[in-house]
Amino acid sequence: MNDAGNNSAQGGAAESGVSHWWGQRLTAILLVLLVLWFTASFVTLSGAGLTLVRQWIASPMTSLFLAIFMAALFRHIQLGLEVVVDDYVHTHTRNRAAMASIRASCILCTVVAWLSILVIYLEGRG
Amino acid sequence: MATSNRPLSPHLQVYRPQITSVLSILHRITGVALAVGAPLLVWWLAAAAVGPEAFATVRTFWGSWFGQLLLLGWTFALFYHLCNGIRHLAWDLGYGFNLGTATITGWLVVAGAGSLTLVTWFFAYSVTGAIP
Repeated sequence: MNDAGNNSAQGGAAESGVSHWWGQRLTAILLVLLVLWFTASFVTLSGAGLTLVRQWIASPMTSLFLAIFMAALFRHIQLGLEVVVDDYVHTHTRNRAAMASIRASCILCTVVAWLSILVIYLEGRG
Repeated sequence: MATSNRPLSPHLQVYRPQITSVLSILHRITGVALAVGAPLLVWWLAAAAVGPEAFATVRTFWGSWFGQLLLLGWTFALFYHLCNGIRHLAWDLGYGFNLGTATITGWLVVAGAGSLTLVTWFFAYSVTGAIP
């Protein structure tokens, strides 16, 4: 196997080096805005009970922003952890295993978050 | 595999720590810490969707001294990663590479993350007192 074949920036977990780089930056820019919005909202909900929290999540704007926030967050986490793994895990099999579990965990977290937001949104309307 | 005998990075312990290098590794450390914390945010959302008992468990956990300590750490990690991330985005655009500038923006990031953390917790506690 030549050097190019070992380079995980080409094919495999990162798809391609360029799209990985752009994905990390675009989600970063999105997250700057969404994190500030979420932190400010979260602080005003400090100590709030379930009714108030659900009321907040169920509003159309909040549920939309939250859904985008969760997707961007876990995509950014996936891309970031992939870089860390590539830097420290050099054994091919272990590298691939770590990449697969990162990807699976991030997808699972996004799906669970989306389902939770959807349930709260629908119950808020019904 | 060709990968097993690769040369390693120079030994870190022979270098004097500098603000730029310390902040660089801190960006990675806070990033990993935030990645560990993010699923707990999903836990909060899922508990709110499931019902009162699940949500009460989450509230008890975050309200405990250990939960509050974790939240404090994550607040700082979040604001640090956010501020330093903006510094990184500026570098990506080609700005701020000058050594003097990088040192100044580095300290600005530390100051910004510290103040944002304090302001957030000040407001969180004043709001908590206000909600019955």
